[in-house]
Amino acid sequence: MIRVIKAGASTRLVDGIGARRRAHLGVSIGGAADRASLARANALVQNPPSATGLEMTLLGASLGFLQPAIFALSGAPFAATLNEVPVPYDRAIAAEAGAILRVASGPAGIRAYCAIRGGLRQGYARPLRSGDTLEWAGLPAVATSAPPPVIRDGELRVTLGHAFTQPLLQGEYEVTTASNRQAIFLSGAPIAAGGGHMITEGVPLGAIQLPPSGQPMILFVDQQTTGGYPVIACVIQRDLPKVGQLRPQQRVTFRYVTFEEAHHANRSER
Amino acid sequence: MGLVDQSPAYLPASDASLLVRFSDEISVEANRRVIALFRYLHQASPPWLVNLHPAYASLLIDFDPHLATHDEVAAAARQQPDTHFAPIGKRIDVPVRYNGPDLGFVAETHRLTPAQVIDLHAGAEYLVAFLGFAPGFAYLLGLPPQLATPRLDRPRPQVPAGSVGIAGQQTGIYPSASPGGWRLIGETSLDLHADWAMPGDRIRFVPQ
Repeated sequence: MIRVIKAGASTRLVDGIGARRRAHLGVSIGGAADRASLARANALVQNPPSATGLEMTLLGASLGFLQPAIFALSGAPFAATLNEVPVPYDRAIAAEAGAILRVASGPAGIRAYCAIRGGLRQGYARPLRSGDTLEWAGLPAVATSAPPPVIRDGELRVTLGHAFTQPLLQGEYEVTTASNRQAIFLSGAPIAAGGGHMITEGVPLGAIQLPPSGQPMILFVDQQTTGGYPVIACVIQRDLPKVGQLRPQQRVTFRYVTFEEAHHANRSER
Repeated sequence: MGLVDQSPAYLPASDASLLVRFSDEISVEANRRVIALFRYLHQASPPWLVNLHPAYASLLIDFDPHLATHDEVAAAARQQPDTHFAPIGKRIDVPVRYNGPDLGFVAETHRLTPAQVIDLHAGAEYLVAFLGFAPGFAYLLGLPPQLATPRLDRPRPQVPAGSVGIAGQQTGIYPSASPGGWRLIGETSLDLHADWAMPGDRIRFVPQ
């Protein structure tokens, strides 16, 4: 068992799959914002890639281990200590009963992941609070190779929205502080919409909508399942983990690819 | 009329989703085709299926790109047996206390009495076209046109769960407390957990 001593800015129990086959009930997919970093942390402690772990956003948590455990940190390299001794990222580390892991913040990326060998049970749908206790899921160990770390550059590959024939995302955009797990709000040279009226339809994960303001937004893991703004582009699956690491004020550019190029990237760059 | 005979458009919406669009206008006919395809794929449950997003006139199919391609997903959708119209789903009675803060405004706007607004609203049968916006939020077709009322100029910061409202030509129920600009005409005590209604269900509002 693990006790949450301090919850940090926003710490959640997340898995790498989310709520599949519930979009028709209005339920967003959810799960880890950067699934690749969660999978990496899980692989390092011999968990299945999608096992439930901790997602810490902007400022990490302080956790007390009530039993011995093996953990790994991955994703945004927030400064971390175990019993006041700095701990490295991307490595399996043993914690003794009574040990305290403190995760602070860092200069790049926005989400750090902590996987515990055996996985955690999904006990809280809400962000964690101090005093919460986390239980082991007791998953059997599996040997998988860890996926490479997520590159935190600001270039996102996108495909054209189905109603558009021209790439409208040109130049640089800045991630605004209003961004969260529902949407990444971007700021830059306004785009003339010209999309006209459209009726509400389903929107995929990573869809880039253009509201009347002309400032694009990327719909993300906690997005609404349907929407009425024109979708001018969509981030390819392979680059969704990068979206989960975008920080306010970071610069973002877009590179248009064909669906074939997207499929090639999805299947080969794993 | 041509709509039901036309074949839908199959449009790649992302590298992992396909949009099947039956019409670019809102209609009960198009929506029933959406629901028929939704039910077919929901029940067939192919291994590549990640999520289905029905809407007024289209169905978005999210798939696992490691297990299928756009063409394979479109082919699976085309295999739907030739039943253009979905059979009607279950019927749900929603008990409503018509005591909302905007009932008087809606009545005055249309030169009706509050009792007439209630009769019209509770006298119609509504189709759950789809759910979206928030878990359990149902988009309904069937509001009597004479009740169509514009949204508030300034949304309320907090609308209680169970509030029944009108916005333009739509009527709906807030499943959870949230900010909102709909004209509130009543409230229900029904528990609107995420799967209280499915696309294709029929709804009646029953005055309490």
